[in-house]
Amino acid sequence: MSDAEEAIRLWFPVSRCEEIVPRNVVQTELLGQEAALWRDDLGFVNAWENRCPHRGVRLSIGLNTGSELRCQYHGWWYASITGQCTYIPAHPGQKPPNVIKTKRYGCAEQYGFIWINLGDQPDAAAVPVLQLDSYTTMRSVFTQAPVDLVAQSLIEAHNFEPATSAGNYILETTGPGEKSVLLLQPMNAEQTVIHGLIPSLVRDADRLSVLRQFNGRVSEMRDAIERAAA
Amino acid sequence: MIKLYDFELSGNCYKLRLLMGILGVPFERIAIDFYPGREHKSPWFLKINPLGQLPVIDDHGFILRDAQAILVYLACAYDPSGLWYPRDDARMLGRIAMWLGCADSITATASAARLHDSLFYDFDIDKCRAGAHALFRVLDEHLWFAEQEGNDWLCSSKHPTIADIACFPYVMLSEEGGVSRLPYPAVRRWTDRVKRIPGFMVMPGIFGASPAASE
Repeated sequence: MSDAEEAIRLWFPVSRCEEIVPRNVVQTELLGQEAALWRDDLGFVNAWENRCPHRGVRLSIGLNTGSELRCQYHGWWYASITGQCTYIPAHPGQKPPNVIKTKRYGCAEQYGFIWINLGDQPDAAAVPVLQLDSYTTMRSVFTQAPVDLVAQSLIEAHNFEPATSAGNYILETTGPGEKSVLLLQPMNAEQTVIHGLIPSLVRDADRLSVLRQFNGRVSEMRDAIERAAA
Repeated sequence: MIKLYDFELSGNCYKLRLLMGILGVPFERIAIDFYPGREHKSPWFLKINPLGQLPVIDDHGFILRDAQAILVYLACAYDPSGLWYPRDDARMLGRIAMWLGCADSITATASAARLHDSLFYDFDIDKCRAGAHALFRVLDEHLWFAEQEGNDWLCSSKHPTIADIACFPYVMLSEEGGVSRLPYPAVRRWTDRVKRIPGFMVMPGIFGASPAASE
């Protein structure tokens, strides 16, 4: 599973859907590639390489206007959905050439998360299937440790096991009782995001305490894993 | 008019410009050659602030140093709404004091890393960056749960306070010290909200936000 060539064909969760808020740009990283995630005002989520095609500045410091993302450096506009450059302030009278486009990644919304795929032919049908009737997503926890070490520690020390045939990137608690599912986002060789959900709906009255307890447990595991990685 | 002893690139000076701009308080900027001139350590400036630090304000002869202290003073003296520093709310004042202390810790870590990288200060850069990340981790978790409770701001209130102004600049400038904010998405959403406060102004290294979507 540590084979990068294999991993690049897989889908990974990179953010909870509800954290891609209007007029915001999320900076994330998957397998060493930075991505800029942003939602347009109609609700469409874009996942682009975090790099302006013009001068290479990070698009994540740009402005989400609701219909396009504007680069902070020279103000070039890139349209939602297509990534097509639609306006160049230095040449206001000219239509930008069709070849000026952001690099788009495969992007899907599933189980309350945004999933992205860095491969050349992303197939949304290949998003991992979790047998869930309902779910509640938890706070994602950033971890200063490589994904293999995170998965290994969760399995050996924290009672998790692989939940799908997709390898060790999606894990669930072993044994009886309500399951917790952890979904790992390999950011790069040193950092991993631990996304989480529980396979049920939570009553409004219990929601905050459930979120806090889950976050507390995952944070404790994160601390232990980071100590082991240091 | 209030005089602000100021350095353009200082986040601690900027936070005072920011609050005075938001409150509509006119002020005069007295530029101090912090770098490379080290004018804040000059004999004449040490008579104004014996600690040799910026910022300092002079409000008609009342001289006050320390960015966080000046925020308290400005809000008490010039904010008729009372919302930026709610003087009658014990819990809010406690929370604000706590986050003002955190702002000083952010200065000692994230800002120190920036001074090391851009102005060549002799600091332990690994320690500065690790300290900043430890604080940002706490900040991100706090802001994430604040959002879940329906609060946009640091002190669990419906209106921002001077605590938000105090913590904002050196969080926003952290990448100039090699401290990435990629692991802190809730912090990014909060900094976007700060940038949308009416009267918000920028400084070098801190850009504005796009307008919020109209409801």
